[in-house]
Amino acid sequence: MQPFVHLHVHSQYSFLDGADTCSTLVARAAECGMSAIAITDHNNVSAAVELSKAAAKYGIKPIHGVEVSMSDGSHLTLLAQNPEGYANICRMLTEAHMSSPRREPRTNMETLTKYTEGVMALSGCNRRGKIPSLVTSSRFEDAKDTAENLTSIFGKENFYIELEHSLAPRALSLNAALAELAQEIGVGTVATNNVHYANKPRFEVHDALTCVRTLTTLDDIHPERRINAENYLKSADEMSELFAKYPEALANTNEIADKCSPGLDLSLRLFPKYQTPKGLSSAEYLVRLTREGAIAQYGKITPVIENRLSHELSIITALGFEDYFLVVWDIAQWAQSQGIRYAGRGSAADSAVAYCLKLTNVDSIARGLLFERFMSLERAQKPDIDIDFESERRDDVADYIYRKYGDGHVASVCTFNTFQARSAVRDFGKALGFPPNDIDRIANILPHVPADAVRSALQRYPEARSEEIPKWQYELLFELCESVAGFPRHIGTHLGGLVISDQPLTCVTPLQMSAKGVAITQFDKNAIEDLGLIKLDILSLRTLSAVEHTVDMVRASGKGHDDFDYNGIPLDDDDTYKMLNSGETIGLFQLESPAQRALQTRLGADNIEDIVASVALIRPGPIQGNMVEPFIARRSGAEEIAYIHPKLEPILKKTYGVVLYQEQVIEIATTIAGFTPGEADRLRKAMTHFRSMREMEDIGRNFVAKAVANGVSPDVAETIFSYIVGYAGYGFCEAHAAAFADTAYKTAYLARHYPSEFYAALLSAQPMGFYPARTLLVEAKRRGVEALPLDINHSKEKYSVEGTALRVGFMQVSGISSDLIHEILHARQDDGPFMSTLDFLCRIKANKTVVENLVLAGAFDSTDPNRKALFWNLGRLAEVAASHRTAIDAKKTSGQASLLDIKQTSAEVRKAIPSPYHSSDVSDAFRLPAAPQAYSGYSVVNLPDFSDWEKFKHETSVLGFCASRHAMEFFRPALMREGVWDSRKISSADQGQIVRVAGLVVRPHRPPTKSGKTVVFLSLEDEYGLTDVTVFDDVYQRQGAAIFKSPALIVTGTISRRGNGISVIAKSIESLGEKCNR
Amino acid sequence: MSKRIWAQVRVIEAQNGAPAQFYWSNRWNRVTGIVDSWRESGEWWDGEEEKSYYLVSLASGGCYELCREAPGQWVLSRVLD
Repeated sequence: MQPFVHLHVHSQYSFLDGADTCSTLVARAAECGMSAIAITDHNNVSAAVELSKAAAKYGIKPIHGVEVSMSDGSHLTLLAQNPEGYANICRMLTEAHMSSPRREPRTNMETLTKYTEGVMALSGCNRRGKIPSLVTSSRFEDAKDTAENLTSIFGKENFYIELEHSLAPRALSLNAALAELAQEIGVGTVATNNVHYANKPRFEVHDALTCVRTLTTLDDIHPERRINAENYLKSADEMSELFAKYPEALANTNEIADKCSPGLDLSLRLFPKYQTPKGLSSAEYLVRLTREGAIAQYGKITPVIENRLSHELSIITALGFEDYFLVVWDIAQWAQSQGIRYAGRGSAADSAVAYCLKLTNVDSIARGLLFERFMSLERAQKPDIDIDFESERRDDVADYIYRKYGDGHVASVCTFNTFQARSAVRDFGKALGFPPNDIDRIANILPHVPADAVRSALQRYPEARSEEIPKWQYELLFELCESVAGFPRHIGTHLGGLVISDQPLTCVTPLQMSAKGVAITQFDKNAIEDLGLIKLDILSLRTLSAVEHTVDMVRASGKGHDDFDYNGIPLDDDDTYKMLNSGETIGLFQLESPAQRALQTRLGADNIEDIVASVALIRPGPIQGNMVEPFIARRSGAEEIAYIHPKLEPILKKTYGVVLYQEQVIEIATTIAGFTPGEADRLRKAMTHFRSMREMEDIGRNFVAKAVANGVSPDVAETIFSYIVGYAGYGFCEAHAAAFADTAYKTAYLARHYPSEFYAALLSAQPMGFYPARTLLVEAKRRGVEALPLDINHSKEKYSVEGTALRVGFMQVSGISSDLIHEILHARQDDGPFMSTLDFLCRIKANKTVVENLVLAGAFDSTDPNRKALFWNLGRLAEVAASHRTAIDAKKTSGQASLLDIKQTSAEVRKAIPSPYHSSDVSDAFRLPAAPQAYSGYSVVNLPDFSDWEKFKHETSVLGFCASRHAMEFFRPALMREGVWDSRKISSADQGQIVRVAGLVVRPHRPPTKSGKTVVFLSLEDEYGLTDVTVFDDVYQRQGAAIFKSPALIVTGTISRRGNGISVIAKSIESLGEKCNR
Repeated sequence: MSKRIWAQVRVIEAQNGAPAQFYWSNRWNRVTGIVDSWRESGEWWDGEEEKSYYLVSLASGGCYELCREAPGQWVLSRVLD
């Protein structure tokens, strides 16, 4: 067998042009006994890290390459001979991406010439390579010129004519001509197969993906589609047979592979060194800042604090991450200096150093948090400090980082948007030529599940079954969806991840422009760290923007809270805890979901620890692990708290003997079994990523053996381990919970004491949180906050507070731009309130649709209360206004009057125009001196106004809700006749009582359950608040289809009271619309 | 110029599966050269099988396109001038 290496291979990162993963391709090459493999995706090296890792796993050599698109559209295959070559490919790709329209990167000859060091070139595939294309067109001399040009650029030793024989028509003659050309100019030939999938059967997936890429259907003909299934990773024997006439082309694959060494060095560390004050090393400076911070946070440094800080600092410096801490500290400092609100989250809150540097708000020493959950010598992983910044200022923080470290040294981390159920159904549905309605029908009922769960989702959910989809027709569709589950579909931008590099980033990653207009890497957050870079999570949290807005409004309220200090909010406010105990948590950070509201009504929280536990408890893991009930029972004293070993008490005391936090597992392993912190964290990771029973048993044996050696009896050790096994995968990071709990409690305090300001701010920060704006408005009203409608003379950009009421802001109006809002506000400020709609139109040049939306939203009710008549006459009013503006402009241009005169005249004229709806003689009133003819004949049509229902519908379509009326108010009389209760009345119902309740469906969801059965939780919203409804599997399977399809439901069920909470267990469900139609 | 035929023919295959002779016009025609060969996957989504095509030349000078639809099943698809 002639040895052979594939040098032209496309992976999944050729986006819709590669039907197998890089790892699968490497595995296939290894299976074929090949010594190396190159990955050459289109215009990116995103597979580079995966290639290096997979190649190491299978013991073959990775060759990093790319297939670039040239400015004439032709393709050229490039291979990195070494790290310098790889870096040159990165630089070349960056230039190609940055100098071309997005998604159409093109490399020109000039760029190519600049970056040839360490790079080899192959002439490209038969279809798109320039040389084969010219030969196919019988332009032999041009082909020869091109080949000679490339030879002069790369050198004879580094340029090869690619021969491809994928059993396509005319390949034989083309290869013969190409081989002759190669001989003529004295360069080598190389055999490739332009691989796009590992095995022949995957051709179908590739063909369907090609249809997705080219927006065609399978029945269409398109030049990008392959004629056959021959572009798979063929064995050396198969390639030898195909290229029997060209032994040199086969041999050269090995020669090239021998010339190439891996392009990636995964041992690099590229994080920048922080510029410390003169004479101080990074470590010394970090120690100084930490000690200064400790004194600021604690008042003085006690031995306990000293020991803890020393311990942490020794690990940070031993692992060489002091610059990372300093860089993050610098960013936080800058944010603080700019008044940008931020809060650290995640396991970084386990660090006392992070607390002293004010990167987090969690005092890890006081909480007894384990630093090793965050960093440990044994684990030696890169630390990950995630910081939330208020969303409106997050980009300012990113700008600061770009300014400080330079454009070429900072970039956003990319994400790969992968095929999910809905996207796969839509893409392949189109490719298979399904009617758009059929595709919508399936896609819309699919929950957010992976692409390989389409089939099971349609079997599981009754709302899908009820559609009577003929599943046999969709079999191919489902197979295709399954075949691409998890495949990247396109590249995107990570929400908060930035990388900073000491060297120019293009040494290790190409950069390209994202849709957002920022430079992104070609590696995602996992791969980027393997390149020696550290990702900084500069996250955007709308809650913090809402907090900032609340604080501003509270301070400006004129109610004596000028010096209100958010950070000084007392953590023991009785009123706040009482509110939490009643489950009134809608809008509160992390505490607002139905499950959280139910928990709060039973938990009886009376201190911040309860809030920390709450944040950790309502997660899929603890819920599935059935940890919630024991926790509540033990906390309330209904269940005895017992510790199987006295050493467990100090560890589990704060969670009443329940293993709730990941840090507790680490502590148990260290205390009971004498594990080192690093070993214990490995145990924690192994268990939270529980993969196999065998692995678990191995860990168990080790734990028990070590515990016994540590003086614990075997029985007790085994029981303790069984607790940990029971915990596997369920626990939550305590530090993260504590960081979130701080914000959660403080938002509760704001809601309790400043509801108008808080809900106005929350509504201004939409979309965020669990509920839509409409629900938040109902909640604000339930708390006694009046909702004032949009008003052209009173509304501000955001929601605002007037006394104890909140006012809808202009931002809520569909289609309105920020510029127009500012124009309106400035006009109001400069020239006084708008006296009529016409006055508004004279002063503000706005697009017709937006003005219509303002009218329909009732913004002009205070000047022109008949919305229908106003809407009808809007076109004519706009003409009048335009003429008025023309007249004013003419005056300005002719210089007949000073600006002040014009302003005064304009104001007088506008005053002379009364609202047509307040005047019986409008035609005279509209005669302006500047251009009297323009208004002759103007008259308004008098129409009766819209009905309340019409107004409601218009407002809802423009604003997303109606501030003055709730949809259920219109149904209330009929519902009362039917004996349907409202949410206020429900609160007085008895346990087990049968009730009927109706409302708009809010956030129906199906969290995972331990039994695997489906339980749907939803809320019904009416004009007074929410009623929580639980739908168990039997009812759901029978009648659940309506839940996800009907906007409003009537539910009959029994009252369930638990703690202070109340919910309805559904017995039957009907669509309110269907009921009304009947 | 080419003429579409699409008629089933008998073929004697060489060891590598390529046509060596085919029966057409009431006689066996010996293939003297494979001018081109390729495969087509066809409408796989409709269950169509992969086909192999051979453009062959004969000693008599003609050029014929043969298609193997399935093992042992051959079609003379075109005759080229």
